[in-house]
Amino acid sequence: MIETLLRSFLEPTATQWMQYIAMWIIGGILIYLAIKKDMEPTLLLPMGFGAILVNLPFSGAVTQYVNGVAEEIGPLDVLFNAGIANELFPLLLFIGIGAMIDFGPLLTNPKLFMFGAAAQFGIFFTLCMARLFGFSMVDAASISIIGAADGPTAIFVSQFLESGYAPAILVAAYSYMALVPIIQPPVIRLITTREERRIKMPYQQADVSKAVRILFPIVITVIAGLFAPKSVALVGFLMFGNLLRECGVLGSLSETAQKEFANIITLLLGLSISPKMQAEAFLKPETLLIMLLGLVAFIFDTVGGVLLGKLFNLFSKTKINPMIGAAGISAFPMASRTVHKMGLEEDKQNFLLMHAAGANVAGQISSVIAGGLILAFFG
Amino acid sequence: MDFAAFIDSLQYMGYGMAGIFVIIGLMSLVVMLLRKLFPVKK
Repeated sequence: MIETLLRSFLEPTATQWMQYIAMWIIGGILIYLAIKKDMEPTLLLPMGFGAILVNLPFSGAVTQYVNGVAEEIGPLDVLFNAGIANELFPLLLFIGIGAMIDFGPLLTNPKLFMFGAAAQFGIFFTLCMARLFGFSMVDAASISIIGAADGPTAIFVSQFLESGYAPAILVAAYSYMALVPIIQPPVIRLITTREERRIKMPYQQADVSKAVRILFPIVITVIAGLFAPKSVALVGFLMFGNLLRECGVLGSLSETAQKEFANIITLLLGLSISPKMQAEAFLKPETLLIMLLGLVAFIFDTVGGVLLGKLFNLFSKTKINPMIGAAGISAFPMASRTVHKMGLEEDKQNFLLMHAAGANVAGQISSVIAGGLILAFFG
Repeated sequence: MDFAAFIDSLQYMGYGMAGIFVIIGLMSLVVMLLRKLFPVKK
C-alpha cells in the first residue's frame, strides 16, 4: 500500500524528475505571463496549467503506457483526439473569430487587402530559415506558420502536417502575438524615416451596403476554395462566422458564436494541446530554435508589410503611411493598436487606427490563405 | 547549416508570395466590383 502511495516519488529517475520540474517551471512561466503580463491569458493560462498537469509522474490526466500498452486512457488525450488531432477545435474557434470581426474598414478601402498579403512574407522567409537550420520540409513548413500570427491557423497547419513540434509552435505563436506591441515598434522604426511615420492619412467614412457585407464572406470563401482548396475549411469557418454577424437575422447565434461558443472552444483548446507538452516531447534543443524562428517570422512579417507601404509611395500620388503595412499581420487587434499608437507618438493628430484595422483584418484572411498554400505545397 | 535545403526552399517563398498576392489581389478586385454593383442606397 505504502509502495503504491510512494510510487510517484520512487519510480521516476533523477533525469525524469529534472524534466518534470523544468516543465512545471515552464507551466508556471506561462501562467505568470497570462496573469501578470496579460499575455493571451485565454490560451496561455490553460496551456501553462496543462503543462503542469501532464508532467506529474503517472498523471491520470494523460494516457499511461505499460510496455507500450495503454493502461488507461487519459481525459486530455480524449480531448486531444476529439478536437486537435482532427483539427476540429481550431476550425470551430474560427466561427467565433469570424463573428467577432468587422470587415468594414477593409470593405471601405479594399486596397488594404494587399498589406495583409505582404505581411505574410515572414512565413515564407522563416520556412527557408528553418530549412537552413536543418528542419525537415514538413517541420519547417509547420514552424513557418508561426508567422501567420494566428493561433488556430498554427494549430490547424501543424496538426495537418503532423509535426512533432506543434506545442512549441503554439507557445511561440501565442507568445509573440501577445508581444506584438514590443516586437513591432523597433522593427518599424528601423526601416522607416520619421517623415514617413508622420504621414497623415485622412479617413473618409464611407458606408458599405448590407448586400456587400453579406456577399463578402460568401465570395471570399468561393475564391479561396477555387484557388487554395486546402484553405477552404479555415476560410469557410471564418467567413461563416462573419456571415452570422452580417446577415442581420441571426443576432443571437452571432452573439453566442462571439461569446459562449468561442469561450468554450478556447477553454478546451488550451487544455487539449497539453498532452503534447509532456517533458520528453517538449524539452528539446529544437524548442529554443523554434522560439527564435518564431521571432524571425514576426519581424519579417512586419518588414514585408512596411516595405509594401514604401513601394506604394513610390508610385502613388496619395501617400500612405507605411506603418499601416505592419498591421497586415493577423494578430488582431494588437497590430493595429500598435501602429495607431506609434502614429500618435510621432504626431498627436496622426490617427491611423481605421486604416490599420483594415490592414489588420486583411491580415486575418491572408494568414489563412497562406496556411492553405502551405498545406497545398506540403500537405 | 543546410545551405542546399535553404536554396531549394527559396522557390516556395516565390510561389507562396506570388500565390498569396494573386488570390488576395483577386479578392480585393471582387470587393471593389461588389461595391460598384451594390452601392449604398441614399
